[in-house]
Amino acid sequence: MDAARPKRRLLSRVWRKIPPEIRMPVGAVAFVIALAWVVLCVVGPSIVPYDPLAQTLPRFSPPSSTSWFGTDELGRDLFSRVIAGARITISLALLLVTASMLVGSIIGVVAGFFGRWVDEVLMRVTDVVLAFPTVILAMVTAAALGASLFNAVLAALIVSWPPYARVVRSLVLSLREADFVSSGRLLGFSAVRSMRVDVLPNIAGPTLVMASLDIGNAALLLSGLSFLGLGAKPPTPEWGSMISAAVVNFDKWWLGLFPGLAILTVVISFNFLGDALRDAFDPEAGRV
Amino acid sequence: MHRRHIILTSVVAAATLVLSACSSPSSSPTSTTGSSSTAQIVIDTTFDIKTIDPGREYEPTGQIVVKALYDTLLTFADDDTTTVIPDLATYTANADLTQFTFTLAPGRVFADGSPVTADDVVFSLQRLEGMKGNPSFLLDGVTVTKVDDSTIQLTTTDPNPALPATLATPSAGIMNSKVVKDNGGTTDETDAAETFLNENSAGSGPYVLKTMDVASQVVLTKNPAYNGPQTATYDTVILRNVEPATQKMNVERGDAQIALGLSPDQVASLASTVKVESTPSATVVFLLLNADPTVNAYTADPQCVKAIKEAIDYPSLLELAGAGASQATGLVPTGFLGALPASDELTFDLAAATSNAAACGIAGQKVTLSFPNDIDPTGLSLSTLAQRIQVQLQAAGITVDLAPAPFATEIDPYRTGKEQIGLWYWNPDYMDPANYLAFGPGQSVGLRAGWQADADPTIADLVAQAYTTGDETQRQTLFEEWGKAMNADSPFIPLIQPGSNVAHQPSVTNVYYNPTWLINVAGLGAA
Repeated sequence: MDAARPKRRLLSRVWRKIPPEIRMPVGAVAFVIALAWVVLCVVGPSIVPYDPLAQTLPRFSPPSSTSWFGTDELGRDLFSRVIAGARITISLALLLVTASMLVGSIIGVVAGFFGRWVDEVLMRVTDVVLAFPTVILAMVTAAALGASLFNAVLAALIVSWPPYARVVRSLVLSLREADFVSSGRLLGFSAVRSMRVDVLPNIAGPTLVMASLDIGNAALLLSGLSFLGLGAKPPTPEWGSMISAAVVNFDKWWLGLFPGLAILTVVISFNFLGDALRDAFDPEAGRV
Repeated sequence: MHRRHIILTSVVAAATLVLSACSSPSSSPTSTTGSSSTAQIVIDTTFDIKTIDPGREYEPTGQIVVKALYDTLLTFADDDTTTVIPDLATYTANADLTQFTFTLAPGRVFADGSPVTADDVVFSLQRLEGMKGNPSFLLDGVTVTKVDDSTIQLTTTDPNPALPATLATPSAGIMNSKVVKDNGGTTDETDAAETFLNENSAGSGPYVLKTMDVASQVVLTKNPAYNGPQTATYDTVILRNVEPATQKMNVERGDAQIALGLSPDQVASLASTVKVESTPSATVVFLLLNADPTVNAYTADPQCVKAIKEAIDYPSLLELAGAGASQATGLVPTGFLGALPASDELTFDLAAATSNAAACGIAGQKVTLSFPNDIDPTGLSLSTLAQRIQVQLQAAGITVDLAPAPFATEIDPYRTGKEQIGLWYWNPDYMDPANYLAFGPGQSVGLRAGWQADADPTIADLVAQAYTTGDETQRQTLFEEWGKAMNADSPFIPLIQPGSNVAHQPSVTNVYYNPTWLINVAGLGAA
């Protein structure tokens, strides 16, 4: 039951502190938009007017009352494709953020808790990855693995865990010397138990806030890889690849505009939401 | 600060994604000096230039440049590709088509004033053949000998009816042998003249090279010493590397006089002030179905091949190809000897396709369709085409997984015959239907589809006959017979012969598209 207690405490702290924040206009709007995208992500495919893969409409028809966002180069309904794309981009972004948070946290906790050579080795590895420009390294990895959405997530994961490892390690370093952790060790807690009971609950909050800030960036990175032809394969209605196909016909403004707006709103709303969460939950971090 | 920075970065990055279409790799805003002037002409295209050494280049942009700098022994007029006409020489051939004798036109000179001699011809052709560069295959099995100062003889081991057309290719351009030798030129693989030839021209053509940058632009100026049959109108020709979307704006605004790289959809929405020459290109887009059962048991089954041929709705594919395009009647494009009439083209029959697909067992199976996604033959996106084919095959119960890859990656599985279904295109290497016999069983392209020599003895026999028959009428009959047999029984499905669209300002006249060199800049006129 030890593990359940801090989790409840965390949720209640968030619950207590969030409402005043999201009443602020920007935070509130961001929250509504982000929530709308998440809802569309779940129900989207069943409410779209056309099959996002069906090539039944005239090609390149501009937005109209029958197809709200117009149609693409193969006569597919762009509105249906943008909505269907939400499930792909947002769920993959969430998956990517969760995975990088897990990988980064494990490495950070181990490095911070054990210190010495373990810390040295893990942090130098982290430095090596951080030393590369994010997008370039992700591109190279995705290109080497072959184009597919799964490989794009894998490639993005390789570049996005190090910041988590760094932050978690520094949190653990400060906690390691704290009295309640030392007390636990003196009582005979094993390293694993000490980490689970005393350390993890105290780093969960800041890490989750960091993750929420990262969702938008993750969506952008994945769309970017698909834009470059290293992610989703046709005919998947992925936003980045839709924009990529729109490039050659950019005088048909609707082809790139709507997927572009989708990426823009997802990135901005999740970023603002993450900010609101951080201000509410972790006021210290705001001053960094 | 940190927070704002992240948001700002995201906004800028997202906006970059949206707006990336507006960027152009060209950073050379060369302005023109008025639309009716003959001082200079600006041609926008998408560069695939690697070198402009005639013996080494074999890329479309390179052909445009080399065509302007170097004369060939024989050539074609305007947009014709069937009748060779004399340029630097006239020729006669023996009855077997194994011995060709060329007589040089008198008085022709290189840009430095020195005369074009038989030695220059022998050196240039031997260099092309001996360097083992990309176009060296053009002269495979050909022996070049000098008879006297103005006579050259080309001898081939087998009858070679395609040789005159081959010699009209810009790669077979005649170079000033003294200049090239002085700069490291030899007739074997030790040749070191490429660097020199990328900075200087050594030909007798209507233009000379001023500057070349393989990434941005090539500038040509009129050759004052030129004394051949052509009359160059423009003093300076600027060939620029520009994104297709920007090409469209440039030619509409008059910043460029000619745009060569527009997609069919861009051509359809061009402003009415721009003229377009739409002609069938010599490119054929085709599907290959691997006949090797170890690659895929279903594509190797003739009944499945039949099902796929019937499942494709050819007119619906054509909708994607735009102006000037037509359904490919066979692998040999129209405009060539032996091209099939429209009555022989493959037809769509969904009911037959569905029952054949079910009978051969391919229905319900997954087959992979591979294609290069970073090259667009004459502006037609293979990715768009593949997605339409996927939907059509699905209607007949055949599920296809699309596997796009960059050209550089995909070319290897294609050439080694590892693709289950491949979507590719063929540009003729030289203007003779013999080039297409490579699709036959056991031939170079046939093997890419796992089609062995013993797989179809009837077609293999037709290929052997077509290679060596010299008589025009007999050739035509043989090629047509071969073409029909290929449509019926080969693992290749000819899909589309895309149009080639040259958009130009009305001030430019005599704009002809010729598949051999795309556009002859010396032939352009001014209104």
